[in-house]
Amino acid sequence: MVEKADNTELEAADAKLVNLLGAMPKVSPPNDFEFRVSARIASARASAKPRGLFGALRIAVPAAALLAVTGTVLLLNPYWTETSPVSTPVDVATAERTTENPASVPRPPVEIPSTTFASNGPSIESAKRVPLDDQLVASRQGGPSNDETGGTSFVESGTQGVKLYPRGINPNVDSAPVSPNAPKARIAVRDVLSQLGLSLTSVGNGLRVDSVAANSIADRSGIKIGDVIEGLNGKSISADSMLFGSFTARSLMIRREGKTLTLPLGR
Amino acid sequence: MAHDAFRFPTKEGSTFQMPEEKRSDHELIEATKNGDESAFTEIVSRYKSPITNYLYRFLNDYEEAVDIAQETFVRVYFAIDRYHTQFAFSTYIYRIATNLAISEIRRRKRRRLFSISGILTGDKNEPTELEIPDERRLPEDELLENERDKQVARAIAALPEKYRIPIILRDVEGRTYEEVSAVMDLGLGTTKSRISRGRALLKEKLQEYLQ
Repeated sequence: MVEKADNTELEAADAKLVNLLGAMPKVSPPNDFEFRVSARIASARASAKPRGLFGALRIAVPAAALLAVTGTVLLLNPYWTETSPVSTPVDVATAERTTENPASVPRPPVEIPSTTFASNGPSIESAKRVPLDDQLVASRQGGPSNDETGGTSFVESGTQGVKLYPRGINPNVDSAPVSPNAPKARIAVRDVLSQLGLSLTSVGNGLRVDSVAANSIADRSGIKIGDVIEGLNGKSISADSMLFGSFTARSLMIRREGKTLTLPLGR
Repeated sequence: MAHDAFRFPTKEGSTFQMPEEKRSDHELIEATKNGDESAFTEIVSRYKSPITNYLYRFLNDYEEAVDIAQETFVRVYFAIDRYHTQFAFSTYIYRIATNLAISEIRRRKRRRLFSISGILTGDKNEPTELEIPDERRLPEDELLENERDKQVARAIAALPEKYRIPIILRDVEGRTYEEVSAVMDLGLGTTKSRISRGRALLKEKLQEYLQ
């Protein structure tokens, strides 16, 4: 009897609760509900549409643009321009040093000409390669540097670890480096001598020095105005002489006040 | 009303015209499958209020309820070809809405746990996770003036998920036990048991209104 009364009471409480819950006020959706639904459907359709050629282009065009930008950045990178093969005359020439350096440890030869000119074909003198230590000694001992007038050295000095840039001909002179693979070319001896810092005039048996650039190789080698250059590396030259291939200019034969002198270069 | 003037354009570009006879859910679904988008408009009109109200009671956030209700209809639209008419459409749409609402609740929990997990540490200096009760101001505070309704809404919101869903569907929305069990994908007995347990929890909290 008590149990039945409890069940009745429980059912009554449930009924009250159900009525309470059912009487909760309803909320209404906003007036633009259908519009928003249709907008979402349209948006979802639009985002799913790009297919076929147009869809492929949406991927291909940005990818191509990205590749182009990356390629341009890589090509314009200073690292590539400074060390590009174009500016690396592999067999241009090397300095030939008379002083020996017995203490030097053999290292892979690096080209470092003291006074070097290049073209293709047979050279006046064959070039030799010297170890890096010798080259550094040469540069510290007053070897021509890249910044000096008339110098054609490939050396750029630094405080620690001299960096070598085989750039070829002095950039201050209007002469481009010659690639060994380029067609055989000839260089007028006048052009060669002008790179030593000399201004020359043709005379009967040679080239007369009209001016010597200050602190140039020619200046340091003792060449003076009025000297007549008659030979290069011990061989006679004239105003019309043409040079081929690679060589190292080591000495000039000059006539001064009626006397013939041989002046070593590259001091 | 403004939304009564809105019409989905049909694929042929013709304007929607309300038919004289009320079509069944399955007829509207079949018409939508055949390209009659006005039929889908009618589905939306028919179910937008109960679905929004159900989600509102479930989430206690009107804006989110409306948002998820709209998403429910979008899901129904794009999955309409997979709908089989041997099942009641009302069950189908309530089930989609329920799943979306559950996902939203879990997303909320993750956000809250993430925000505090880096601050609190337990006894062994290990991060602890605390589940903070939802103390946001209920929309009822704005929509309902009746204090009793506020208390009832809070009591429903405080129910565990597994009791809240069947209680709302059965006692607030007035769905049958069979529909509720189908929406929850549970057996009829389990569904009734959960409804009973949910009611018991509510009665404890709403004693003063049940005297």
